[in-house]
Amino acid sequence: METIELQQNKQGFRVRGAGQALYRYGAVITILVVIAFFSIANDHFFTYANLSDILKSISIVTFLALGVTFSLVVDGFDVSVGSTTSLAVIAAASALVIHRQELFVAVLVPLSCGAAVGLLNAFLAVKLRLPDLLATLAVMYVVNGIQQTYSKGYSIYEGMPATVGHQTGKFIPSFKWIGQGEWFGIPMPVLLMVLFVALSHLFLEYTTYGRRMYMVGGNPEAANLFGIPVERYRVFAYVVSGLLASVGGIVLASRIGTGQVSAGAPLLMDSVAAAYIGYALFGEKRPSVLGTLLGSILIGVLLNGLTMMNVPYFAQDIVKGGILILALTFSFLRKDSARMKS
Amino acid sequence: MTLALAGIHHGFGNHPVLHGVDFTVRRGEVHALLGMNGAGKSTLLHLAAGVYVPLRGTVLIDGQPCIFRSPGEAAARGIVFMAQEVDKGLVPQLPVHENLTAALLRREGRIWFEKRGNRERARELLREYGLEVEENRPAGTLSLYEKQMLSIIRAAAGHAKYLLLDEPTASFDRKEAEKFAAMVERLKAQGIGIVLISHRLHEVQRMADLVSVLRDGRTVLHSIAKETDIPQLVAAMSGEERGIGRRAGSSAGDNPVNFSVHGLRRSRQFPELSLSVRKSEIVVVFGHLGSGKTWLARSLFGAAKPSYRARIDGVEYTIASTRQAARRGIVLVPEERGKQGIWKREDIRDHLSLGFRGFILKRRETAYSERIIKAFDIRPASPGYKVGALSGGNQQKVAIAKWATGTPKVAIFDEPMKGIDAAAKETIFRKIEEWAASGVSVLYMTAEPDDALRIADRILVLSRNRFTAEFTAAEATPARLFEAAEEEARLVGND
Repeated sequence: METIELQQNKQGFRVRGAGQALYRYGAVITILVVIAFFSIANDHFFTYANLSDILKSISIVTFLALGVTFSLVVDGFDVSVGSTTSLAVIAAASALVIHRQELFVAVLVPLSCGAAVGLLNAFLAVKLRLPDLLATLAVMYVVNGIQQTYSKGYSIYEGMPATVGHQTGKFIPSFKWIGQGEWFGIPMPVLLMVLFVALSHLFLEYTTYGRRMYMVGGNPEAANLFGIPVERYRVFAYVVSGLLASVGGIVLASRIGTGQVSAGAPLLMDSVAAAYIGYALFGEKRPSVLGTLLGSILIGVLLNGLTMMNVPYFAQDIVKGGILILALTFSFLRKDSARMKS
Repeated sequence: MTLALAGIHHGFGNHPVLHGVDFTVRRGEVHALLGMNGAGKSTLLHLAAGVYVPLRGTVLIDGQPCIFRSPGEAAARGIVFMAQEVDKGLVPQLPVHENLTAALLRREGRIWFEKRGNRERARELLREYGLEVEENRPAGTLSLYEKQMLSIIRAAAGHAKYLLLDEPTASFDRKEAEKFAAMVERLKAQGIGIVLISHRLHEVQRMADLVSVLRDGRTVLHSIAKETDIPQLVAAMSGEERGIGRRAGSSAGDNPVNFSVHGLRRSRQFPELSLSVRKSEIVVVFGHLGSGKTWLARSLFGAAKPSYRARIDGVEYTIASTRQAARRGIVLVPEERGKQGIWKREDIRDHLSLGFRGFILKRRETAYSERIIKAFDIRPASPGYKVGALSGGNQQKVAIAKWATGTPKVAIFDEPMKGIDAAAKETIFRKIEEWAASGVSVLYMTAEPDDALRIADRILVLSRNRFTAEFTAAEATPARLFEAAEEEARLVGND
C-alpha cells in the first residue's frame, strides 16, 4: 500500500493525508459523531434496547436500499422498490389470511411477485431501452395500482370484513417469527438484514460476477467488447432488486402482522437516500453494499435520536434531506472527476 | 485575398506537433494538406480555425495578423472548420431547413421565425447547390454524406470565405465523391478558398490546385497538384529513406489455417468477404478511415449484426454475440481505447483479473496482476493505480493485458497505436509478436503503412468494405498500399 500511495503522489494525485482520510471516512466519522452527540444529549440513547430498536427500524429499509444499490451498480436506477414491497406485503397477507397457506407458500408468492416486477423493469429498461428512472417510475405506479386493486384499498388482516375475500386462515406463528422472533436476543429482522448485507457484499466485491456488474455499470461498451453479456447482467440486477424489495415486504408483513395497503410507499425515499449516501461513502462515486448499510444506519440513528430529543416527526424529513445534500456534495464536489475525464 | 499561417509552432504538453509550418490558401483555390496520422494536419487546421492559439507564429488574413480566441471569432471572419465528425455542427432533432438557416437568421438579426418562408428559402439553397434532401427531415436522419453536404452549404450560404475540411470524403462512395468534387468546383467558382485533408491521393490530384505534405510537423513537400505524381506524394508522406523496421521473419510459413471466415458482408450492396489466417500468422488489414476496417473488427468479434460462421481450430462455430466470440477464443482490442477498451475509474488489478472465474482472492489477484504488469511493462507498476490516470501507451497495454487470463486463438487489433509513444509502441509490437509466436492468429487493422509493414506477415487492403489487394510483407511498399486502398474507385469506374 505504501508504494502505491508514494507513486500516486509522484503522479500529482491529490493525496493529502488528512484531507484524503476525511473524504474516505467522512460518512463513518459523521455517524460516530452523531452517535456520540446523541449519547451525551440523552441518557437512554446508548442502551442495548435502543440500539437494537434502531437496527430493527432500519432493517426493512435496508432490504429496499440493497435493491436500489444493485440497480445502481449496473448504472440503472430502480424506484419501484417501494411498490414492490407493498405488493409483497399484500401477497403474503393474502396467501396467509385468505388462501390459508403455510409458511412456504406465504414466502414464495411474494418472492415471485418481486421477481416478476424485476423482470418487468428489466423488459422496459433493458430490452426497450427506456430511461431507467422513468421506466421504473412507471412500474412503481402500475405495481402500486395492482396491489390496491387486488385489495380494493383495504388492509388484509385477521377479522377483516369480507370485502376482499373470505378469511380462512391467519398470520401463522412461523410466519410472524420472521419479523418478530429473536435468536439469542437478536431480533430476526436484524439477523436477516445482516445475512443479506453479508451475502450481497460477498457477491459484489468478491466474486467475478459482482465485479463484472460493476464493469457493466462503469462502461457498458467496453464490457460488451470484452464479451460480457451486458443485457443479461442488467436484467439480473433488476430481478435481484425486485427480490430484495419483496424480502423487505415479507419481513414488514410479518412484523406488523397485517397486510397494510401501500405499506412500502414511505420506504422508497429512505432507501434511495441510504443508497446515495452509500454512493458518496469512502470518497468514491461508487455504489456499495457497506456504504448503503452505513447510509441506512445514519438515517436510522438520526431519526431515532431526533425523536428522543422531541423533534417533531414532520420536521425530520428536513434533516434527511439535509444529510442527503451533504453526502452528495461530498462526492460530487471532489476534484478528481475532472482528471478522470481527460 | 489569402488566409496564411506563418512560422507556426505548436505542441501539447511535452509533445511538440508542429515545427515552423507555413501554409497559405488563396480564395478560389483548393489547397490539399497531406500526411500520415499524427503529422500535424488536424492541429494545423484547428489553429487556423481558432480552436487553439499557436504557441508561436501568426495567422494572417490578407496579410493582417489576427488572433482568434474561439472558433466563433474565426467564423466571424469567414473561416469555417468542419471536423471529421460533422454531426457535431448539426442539431439532430431539428429539420434540415432550420439547421441550414439558423446562422443566417442570427446574422440577419431576425426575431420572428417564419416557418413557411424559411422552408422556401432552404429549398432554394438546396436546389442551388444541388443537394436532394427533403427540407423537413430531422438532420439526425440524414446519411453522413448528406450531413457533410448540408454543413458545407450552410457555410457557403453564410458567406464563408475559407472552408477547412478534415477528411470530408472518408466515408463517401464513388457517386458521392463525384458530387462532392462538383460541389468543390462550385465553391471555387464562388471564390471560396478550401483546405482539404484527404488520404485519397487520386482525388487530391483531381480536385486540388496546390498540395502540401506534412511529416512530423514540418512541410516536406509543396507543389502544384497536377505536376506531382502519386509515388512522389507517398514518398514525401512516409519518408521512405527512413527505413521501416520490419519483422525479423515470419514463423507462420505453412502452418495450418487457424481462423477462417466466409460470406461476411456489411449489407446487401456489398460483396461477401472471406479471409483466413494461419496459426501464428500476423495479417494486417490496411484501409483508410471509412474503409470498413472498424466494422470488420467489430463484426468478427460478434459486436455487429448479422452473425457469421467461422472456423476456428478446425471447428465450425456461429458467432452471434461478443460473448460467443470471447468464448471461442477471439480477442478484440478496440479502436477507441478510452471509450471501448478500458474503465478509467477502475484500477489496473480490476482490469487484469476480469477473466477470473468464481470467487476472487485478493492475494492471488494481486500476485497475478504484478506478474502481468511486469510482463507487459505497465508503468507505474502498481496494481492499485487507476487506469484513467495512466498514459495512453500504458492504457493500451492494460487494454491488451486484460485478455491474458484466457488462451486467445484469434486476436484482433483495431488501430492499436493511436496516440501512443514510440517506446510503448515497440513494447506492444513485441507482445503481439509473442502472442503470434505462441500460436495465436493475429488480425491487425490499421491505416498506417509504417505500422503495417512493421508487423505484417501478409497484408490485405480494404477499401469500401471489400478487399482490393493482397501482399506479402516483402512485396508491400507504402505506395502500393495507398494505390490499392483507392483501387475500388477505379475498378468500379471502369465497368
